[in-house]
Amino acid sequence: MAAASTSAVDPAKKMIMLTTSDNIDIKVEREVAERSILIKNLLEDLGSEGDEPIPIPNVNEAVMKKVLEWCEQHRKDPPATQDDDSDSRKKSTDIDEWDQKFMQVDQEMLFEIILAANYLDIKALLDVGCKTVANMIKGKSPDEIRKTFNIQNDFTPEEEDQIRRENEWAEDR
Amino acid sequence: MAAPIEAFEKLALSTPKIPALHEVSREINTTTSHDLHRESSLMNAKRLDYLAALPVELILMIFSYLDPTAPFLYQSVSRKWRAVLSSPQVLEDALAQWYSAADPPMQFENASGPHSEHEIIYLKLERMQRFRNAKPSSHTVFQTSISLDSVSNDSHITNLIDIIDVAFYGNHVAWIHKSGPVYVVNLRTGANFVVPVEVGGPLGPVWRIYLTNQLLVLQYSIGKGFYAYDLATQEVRSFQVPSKTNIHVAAHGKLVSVLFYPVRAEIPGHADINRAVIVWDFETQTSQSFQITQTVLHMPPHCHPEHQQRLARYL
Repeated sequence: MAAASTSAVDPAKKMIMLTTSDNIDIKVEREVAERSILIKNLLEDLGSEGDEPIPIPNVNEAVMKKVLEWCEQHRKDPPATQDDDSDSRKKSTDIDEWDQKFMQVDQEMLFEIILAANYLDIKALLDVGCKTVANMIKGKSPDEIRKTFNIQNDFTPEEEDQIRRENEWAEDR
Repeated sequence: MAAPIEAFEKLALSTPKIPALHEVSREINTTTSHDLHRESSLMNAKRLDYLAALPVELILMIFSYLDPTAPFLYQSVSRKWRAVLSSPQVLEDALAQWYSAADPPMQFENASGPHSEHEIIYLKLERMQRFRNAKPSSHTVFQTSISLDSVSNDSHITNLIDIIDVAFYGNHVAWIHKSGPVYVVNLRTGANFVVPVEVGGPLGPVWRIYLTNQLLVLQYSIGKGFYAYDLATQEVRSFQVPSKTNIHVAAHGKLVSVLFYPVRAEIPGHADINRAVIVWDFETQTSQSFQITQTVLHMPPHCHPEHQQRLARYL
């Protein structure tokens, strides 16, 4: 056991520092942060030290913490394969239980997570975010959509009627 | 920053500013658009339509999980949604669930005549919708997607009696026309071809056809040969069976199996009935055979020979 304590720290467990858009420093294990391809590439480009804090100018502290919570949970997931998108047919909107709970946040946070996942290049999180929104849309009428997403109907009744008629066939299921 | 804004302001009123803005937004990369989004969300505080404010590529991603009709259904939500959801990119991506790049092009995609991207999307959607609602009136499908005239002048299906055998599998339907040729049509894409069958050849006319997801198998009325067409490549291969009578054919994937059952004038009361099966593989062009042996234990003793024979077949 004594030998283990003197050996070098496992590089995956090494702590790195991220600076969020609101200038907050967040300490996180390298392996967790590297779920983000953007951070992973940055760390590689900067050399393996990673002692300098890494600025993440597009993500604030609250969102970053939430994203890192997801990365922590999924730290051991195998990396996404290249051919994931090869057959886009019959995309399932199933989300595993932990992710479903994770995504139970207010809409502002949900969309912030999606934007952050896109910016940080965390494909699996981006997919979960998009599926969550897709599930919020699924099966709803246009009016229910307005209520769900707090959208003002800015059409005149005539215009709305016209558009409805144009797209009537889409309702014919 | 001031110069481009001034230039934009100076655009004459007759110049459409909206297309200009669209041009600009096309140039914006993810990072910039993210910044813009953050700026605008600050301005609009809490009453923002977050979804429509997402960069287009993320909206595409969300709608790719929804039904291909969803972009149309939700165009009446708001002006902003209409603008986003009527873009060809969104519609194409939604349709990608239904039509993949691996599908052969549809009849109208390589037909001559001006077909805009927009028109093709609508034609695809129309066909998809008709297919899903199980309303592909045969009239419309055959008129628009298959021109049998271009293949043969006497191939009109005017009478069902003209069709000798029909086979269905997945999207494909195939039939033997009494004049000889076998037609294969992909109902989804309209892709079709005619199997050039030699009329009056040594094998005689085609008598039965079998379809799998990969093969069309032809059985002839005289010869002992079979032909198999690869539906994807239209490659043709043949194989022979020892007997053409009293056989039963089944096909799956790239395998064709033929069962031979014995017919004898007299079936002894306690005889062994042997049946042979040949399984032919299109890929390797080899066949394997085996026998099924079944001992008949209880043939009714005073049964009419003809009935015995019929019973034996089913055992």
